[in-house]
Amino acid sequence: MDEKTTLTFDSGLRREVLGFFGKDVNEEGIIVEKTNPNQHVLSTDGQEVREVEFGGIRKGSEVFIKNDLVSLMRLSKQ
Amino acid sequence: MSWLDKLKALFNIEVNSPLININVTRNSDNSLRGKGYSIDEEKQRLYVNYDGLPEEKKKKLAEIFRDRVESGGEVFEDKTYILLKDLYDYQKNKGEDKKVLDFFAPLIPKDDYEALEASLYLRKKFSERLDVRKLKEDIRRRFGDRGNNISNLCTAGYFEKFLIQLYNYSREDFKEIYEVIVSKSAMAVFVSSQMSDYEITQDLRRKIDLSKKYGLDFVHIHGIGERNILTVRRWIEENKGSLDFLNKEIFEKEGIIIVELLL
Repeated sequence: MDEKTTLTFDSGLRREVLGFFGKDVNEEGIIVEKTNPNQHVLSTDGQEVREVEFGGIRKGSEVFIKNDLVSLMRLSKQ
Repeated sequence: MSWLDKLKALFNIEVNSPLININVTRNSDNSLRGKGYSIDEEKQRLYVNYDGLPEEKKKKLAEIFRDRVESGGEVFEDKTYILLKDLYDYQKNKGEDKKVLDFFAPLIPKDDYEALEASLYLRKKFSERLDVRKLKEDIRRRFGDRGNNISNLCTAGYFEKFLIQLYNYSREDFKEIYEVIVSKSAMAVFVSSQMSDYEITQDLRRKIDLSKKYGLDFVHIHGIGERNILTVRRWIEENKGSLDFLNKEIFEKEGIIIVELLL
């Protein structure tokens, strides 16, 4: 039953949620590792992720999901 | 204890029916009025007011988020989840769109196929009178002008009404003409409110030349919205003499105009 219950957050809480996972946002608006700001997090297709593009996180090694139509279309086919 | 049980324990929540969604909110509309949470039993949703939580509960909530992901789940921004859910539904109910995609899958580059797939979804949402501006921008950002052209051509029905016919008529010519149409957006001008008369004229001149070069005897002008419809009508009247075309078949319905210029 847990798997059927979704956990979501408002777009206004993006930074807080990123903080839950040890991430931060640099001056250019790109999501980075808190402990190593030179390390950018990557999306499912290997691209860096801007805060405004941050759509979610999935299992595994914290794969970051971008919120654009093409990224989500690919995800919907998995 | 599962992440969901931990969350219920955090707020001492007992609910009679399973929860479909937990949404952590900023409560910008103050609907939660300082409360830490609120349950909508009918919608089976729990709203957590993040700003209304003491620091200790915020830390526990952070752990719950991490537990959720580490246990194989996902966390989503709520609008992202709404779009993703709609895309899952779309994948199961593609209808005629699937036929279009299956037809072009072996014929066009992979990026074009992805742009077409996204554009078909955008077209469906447009037909449902939803705001598609972000979806269109997403396609343009990912695939550039080429993706934007595919999106315009798809919405206007060119893939079904013209390109399939073109392939069936002449497989040898298909690749070259497809490339011209998609990369240079030949065959059609999509008038937007940002275009000046000069820009419309220049775009049409270029496409009339391209169409003639590749044996296409028409160019279409598209406009959406009252203002663009007026622009298209006025432009045709003012330019009929100077550019060599006959205008035929003005289609005008529900805020869309399409004019065929015969060359």
